[in-house]
Amino acid sequence: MRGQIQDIPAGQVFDFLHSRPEGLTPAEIAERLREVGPNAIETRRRHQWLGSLARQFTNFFTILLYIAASLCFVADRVQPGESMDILGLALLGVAVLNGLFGFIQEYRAERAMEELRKLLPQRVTAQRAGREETVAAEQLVPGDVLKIAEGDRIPADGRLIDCQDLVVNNAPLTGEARPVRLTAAPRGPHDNEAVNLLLAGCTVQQGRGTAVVYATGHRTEFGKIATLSQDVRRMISPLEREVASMVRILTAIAVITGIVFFVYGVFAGISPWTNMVFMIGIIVALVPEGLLPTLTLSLAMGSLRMARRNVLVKGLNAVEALGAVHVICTDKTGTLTLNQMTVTAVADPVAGADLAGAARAEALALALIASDVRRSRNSRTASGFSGDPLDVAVAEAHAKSGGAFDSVTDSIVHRFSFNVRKRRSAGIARRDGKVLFCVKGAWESLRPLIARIETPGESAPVAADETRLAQAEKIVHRLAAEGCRVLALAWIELETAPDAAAAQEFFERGLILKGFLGAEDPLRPEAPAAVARCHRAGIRVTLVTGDHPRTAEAIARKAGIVPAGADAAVLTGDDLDRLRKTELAERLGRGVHVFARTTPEQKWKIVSALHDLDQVVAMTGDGVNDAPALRAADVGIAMGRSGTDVAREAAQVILLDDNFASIVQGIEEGRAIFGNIRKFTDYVLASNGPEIVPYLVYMVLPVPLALTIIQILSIDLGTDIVPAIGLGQEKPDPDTMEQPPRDRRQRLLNWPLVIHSYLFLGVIEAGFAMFLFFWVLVQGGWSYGADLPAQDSLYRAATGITLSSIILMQIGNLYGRRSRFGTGIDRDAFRNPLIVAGIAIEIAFSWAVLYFPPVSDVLGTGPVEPAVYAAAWLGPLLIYGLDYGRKRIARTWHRAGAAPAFVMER
Amino acid sequence: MIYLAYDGSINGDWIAWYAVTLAAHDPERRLGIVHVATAEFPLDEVRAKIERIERQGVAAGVAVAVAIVPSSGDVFRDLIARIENDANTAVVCGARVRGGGRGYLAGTVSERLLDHRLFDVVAIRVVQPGLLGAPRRFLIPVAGDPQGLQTGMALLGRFAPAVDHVHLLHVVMVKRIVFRRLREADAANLREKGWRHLERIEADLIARTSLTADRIGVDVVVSDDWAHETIIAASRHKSQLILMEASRRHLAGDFFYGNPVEVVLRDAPCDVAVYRGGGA
Repeated sequence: MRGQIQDIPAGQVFDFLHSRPEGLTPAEIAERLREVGPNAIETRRRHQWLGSLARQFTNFFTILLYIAASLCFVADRVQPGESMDILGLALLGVAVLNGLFGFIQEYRAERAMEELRKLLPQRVTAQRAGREETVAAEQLVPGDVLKIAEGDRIPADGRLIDCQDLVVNNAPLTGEARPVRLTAAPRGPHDNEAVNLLLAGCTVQQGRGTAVVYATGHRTEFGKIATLSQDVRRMISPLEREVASMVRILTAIAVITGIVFFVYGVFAGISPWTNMVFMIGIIVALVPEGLLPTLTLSLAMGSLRMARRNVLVKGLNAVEALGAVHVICTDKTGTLTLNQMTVTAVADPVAGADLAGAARAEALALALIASDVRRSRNSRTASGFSGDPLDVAVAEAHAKSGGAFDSVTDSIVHRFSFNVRKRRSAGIARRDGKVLFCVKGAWESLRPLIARIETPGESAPVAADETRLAQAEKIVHRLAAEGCRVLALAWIELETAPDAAAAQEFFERGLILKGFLGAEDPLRPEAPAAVARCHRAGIRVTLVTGDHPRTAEAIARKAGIVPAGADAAVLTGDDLDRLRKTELAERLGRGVHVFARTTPEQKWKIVSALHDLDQVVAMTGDGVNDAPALRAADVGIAMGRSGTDVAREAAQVILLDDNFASIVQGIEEGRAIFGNIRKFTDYVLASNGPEIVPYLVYMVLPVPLALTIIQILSIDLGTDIVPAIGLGQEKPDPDTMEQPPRDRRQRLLNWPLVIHSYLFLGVIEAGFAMFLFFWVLVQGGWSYGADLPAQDSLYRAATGITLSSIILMQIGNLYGRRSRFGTGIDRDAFRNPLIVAGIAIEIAFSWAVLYFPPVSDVLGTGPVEPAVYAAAWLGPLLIYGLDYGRKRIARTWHRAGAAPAFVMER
Repeated sequence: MIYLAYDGSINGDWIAWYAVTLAAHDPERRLGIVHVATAEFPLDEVRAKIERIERQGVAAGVAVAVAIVPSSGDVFRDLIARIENDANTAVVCGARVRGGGRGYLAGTVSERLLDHRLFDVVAIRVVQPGLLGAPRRFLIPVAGDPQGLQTGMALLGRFAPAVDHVHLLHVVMVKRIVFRRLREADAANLREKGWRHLERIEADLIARTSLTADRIGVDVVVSDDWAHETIIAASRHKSQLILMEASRRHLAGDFFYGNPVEVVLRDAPCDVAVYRGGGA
C-alpha cells in the first residue's frame, strides 16, 4: 500500500503531489490557488459581523424601545410641545447603547483568530519555475516547494524532501515544549508519529530543509485549531439566558397591558390621540428602561472587583457565569502547583534510600550530563538556568549538592536531545580521563537497556536480574505514588571517543542503573483550602493533566481533590479515546476526579460530556491547542503568566496569577453578583407599580393623570440607577460559598420576585403616592371629575408630590433589599458609597422636583406645602416597616420549611 | 467496476488517487477513465495526465481502461454513454471550484450524475492532496433516514482495510428560532433519541464492514445548522474525509440559508465525498 504522503519515500513526493524540484509554474499556481483558495486562516466574514451587529440591535427589548421611541416622535409631530421628542431620543439612546455594548462584547471575544494569525509568517521562500523567490505566504498552494531555515515560522503543512540538522518547535500544535528533530525519511510501519512533516504555525529552531506543501489555510492542522477557536459556538451563559427570558416576560407584560388598555380606551370613547399617549405611558411605565444599563454597569464593576482578585474577566456575562459553575476542570502545573520543579529525591536503585554527600553529587552530575540546560540572562528562574523545567531542576539540585555547573557542562562532548518517542535524553562527557555515556528518562524506556545495577556499599555493579529489576520498579512506584515525576538514571563508560554521527542506540548497551531522581512541583500552599472551599460550595474540582496517572493522583490527593480514603478513579487519555461520550458522562457521574496523560484535544470531550450532564463547566488552559476547549467551556480560563496569547484571547477569564485559589475567589464574586442582580431587579421593578397605577386610574376614573411619562423616565433612567448599581456592588453574603451552585432552573425573574415587587412593594408605593396626589388635589379645592390643565399649579403640585413620594419610598425599598430576612441596616450600608450617593440623589431630587424650578419646569411639577413634603417622608418608613414585617413572617415560615411563594422575594 | 469521470483539472488529478484506491479494493480491480474532451484543457496535456493515472493504477494492481471521447455539447450524456451500467458500477467524479460565486455541485455534470441515480456516484472535492486518496479518519454525518447510508457503507467498505477511525455524527436538527430557546431537558430528550438512532446505524456498520467498535466514534449534537456542526466535527476529530450522502433536498438546497452541502464542500477542513446510490 502506498499510504499517505508521510509514508512514501522522499523521492516520490514531487510526483505524487504533481510537483517537481524546479517548482510549480505560474499557471499551475493560479489553478491551484483557484481550487483551494489562499493559504490563510480566515477571520469572520464581514457579513457575519454585520449579522452579529444586526442581532444586537434587533433583540426583543431593543425593538420594543424602538417602537416606543417611534410612537413618541409621531406623538410629538401630532401634538408638539410636550417633550415627547426628548423622550423618544432618550429611549433611542438606551436602545443604541445596549446594542453597541453587546456588539463590543462579542467582537472582543473573537480576537483569538487574530492572535493565531500572528503565528504565521507574511513572506516565505519558495522554489517556483526554477527560481528561488520570496513570495507572500498567502500565495502558497499544494505542490509548492518551500525552503525553510533557522528562525522561520512554518507557513503551511509540508512533507520534507531534504533537511540538514532540522529541529522544530511544535508547541503551538502539541503543547510539548521540547523541540523535535525532523528527517526526510518515510515514516516507518510501526511509527505512530511522522517526523517528516512540517506543520504550519510551528517554528524552526535550527537547521534547514526543503518541503513540498500538501495542505494550506484552514486545511492545515493549525488551521483546524483556528477554525475551532473561532467557529465553536460559545454556550449561552446562564445570565444571558436569564436576562433574555426576563426581557421577554417584562416586554410581554408591558405590551399586552398597553394593548388591553388601548382597546379599552377605544370602547370607552377616549380620543385616539389620548389613547395612544396612554398606551405609550403604560408601556413605558412597565418596561424597566434602566434595568439593562444597570445590569451592564453592575457587571462591569463586578469585573473590576474580580480584577483586583487577579481574575480578569473579558466578557461581562462571564462575571456571573463563573458564579454558576458546577465543575472546575483545572490544570496541574502552575495552577495547583507552583510550577517550580524541584528534585526532592535521589534514590539508590536497591533500597530506594535517599543518597547523600558525594554519592548524591555524583548521581546529579551524571544526570546533568544527560540534560540540556544553560545559564541564561533571560531565564525566569531564580537560579538563572534555562531549559526544560526538569533539566533546570537537575542543574539546581546539582548546584545545591556542591557541584560545579560549568565543570560538568564543559565536559560534555555530545548531547542527545529528549526524544518524545524514546522518552529519554542522553549525553557524552569526558571526565577524569574517562568517556561517560549518561542517559536519563522514563523507567519503562530504560528498563530493557539495564544490564547492571549500582549497589551502595559494593565496589562493582551487580547483574540486573529480574528480582533486582522488580525491586527497582517498586522504588519507582513508591516515588510516583508520592507525587514525584520519576527519572531513571543510567550510565556506561565508553572505551573510545564517540563518533559524532553515531546514533544514541549505539551507546545504549549494557547500561548501569545509577539510581532514580524524584522531581516534584510543590503544591501551592493555598490550593487545599481553595479546593475544600469549592467542595463546601458544592463545586466539583477535576484535575486534567498530561502527567503520569500516579503523579496526578498524588497531587489530587494532596490538594484534596480526591477525598481521603476515596478511590481516585483516574482516567487516562487512552481511556478517554476509548470511551464514548455517553460512557464518559456516566463515569463522570460516578465521580471521576482525575484525568491523566490527556491531550488538550481531549479536554473538549470532557467538557462536552459534562454539558450532557447539564453542568456549567469552567476549564483552564494555556496552550494554543487549548483554545478550542476554552471556547467550548461555559467559562474558559486562561493563564495570565504562563499562557499563550491565543489561549488568553480564546478564554473569557484570564487568571493573572495562574493560581487556582483565584478562580475560587472569582466564583464567590460571581455568585454574589447573581444575588445582587436579583436584589436590584426587585428594587427597580417595585417602582413600576406606582408608575402604572396612575394610568389605570386615569383610564377608568374621571381624575387627572398623577404621573406623566417624562416623570416616569426620571425615575427609571434617573433616580433608580445609582441606588440599583449600589445594590449591585454589595459584598457577598458570609454563607455564599456554603451554598450549592444555584439550580439552572432557578429563574432570575420568578413568581415570588414578581409578586413581591409588583404586588407588594409596588402596591404600597402606589397606594401612598396616590393618597398624597389626591390629598393635595382635594386640599387645593379640586372636585371629583373636574379636569385640570397640565400648567395648572394645583395639578403640578399634586403630580410633583406623587413623583417625590415615589422617589423617597425607594429609599425604604433600597434598605429592605439589602438583606433577605434582616434589617438591611448595618455598617456596610454606609460604607457602600454608591448606596450613600444614591440616597443623597433621591433626597435631593425629591426636593428639587417640588422646589427647584430648573427641574420642576422640565418635569411639569410644582411646590407643595412643607407639611405635605414632610408627610411624604413617612413613605420610606411605611414601605420599610411593612416589608420588614413580611420578612419576619417569611423567615419564620422559611425556618419551618413552609414559606409560600407570596411572602418570599427570591 | 470503478469509473473516473476525469475532467483534466488539478482536482481531477487529485481525485484520481481516490478512484485508484476504490478500484484497488473493488473485487474486479478495474478502473475506467472517461474524459470528454472540451476546450478547457489541451488534449495533449490531458493525455499526459491520464498516463500518470494509469501508472498509479498499475502500481496499485488495477487494470486501467481509458476512453477519451469528443464532446457532443452535453458532457453528461457523453459520459453516461461510455459507462457500463450494472449493479457494481460506481462513478467517481469531481466537485471543484468554478468561481463567480457558483457552487461546487450546483449545475455541474457531477450534480446531474448524482441526481439521475443511474449508478452509485461519488463526487469528491480534494483539498488535502497529501492524503493520496487514502484517508484513514472518516467523518460520516448521519441523517435521520438510514436508507441513504447503504451506499455510504459500501464505499466505506472499500476504504475499510486502511481506516483508523470512523466518526458517526448525527445532528438532530431543530428550527433556528427553537434552537435559541431550547431548554436543556428538551435537548437531552432529542439527544437520547439521536443516540438510539445512531446505535442502530453503528451496529449495521459493524455488521456490513470490517470495522470494529473500537474504531468507531459516535456523537449526537442538537443544532440548527448541520453544515456548521459537520465542519466543526471534522476539525475536532481530525477527520481526513467527510463522507456524506446527498439527498434530493440537499442538492436543491435551501432558499434562505444556502445549500448546506455546498457549505461543507466550501468550508470543510478536509476532503469531502458526496455520494448517492444508484437504482432509481
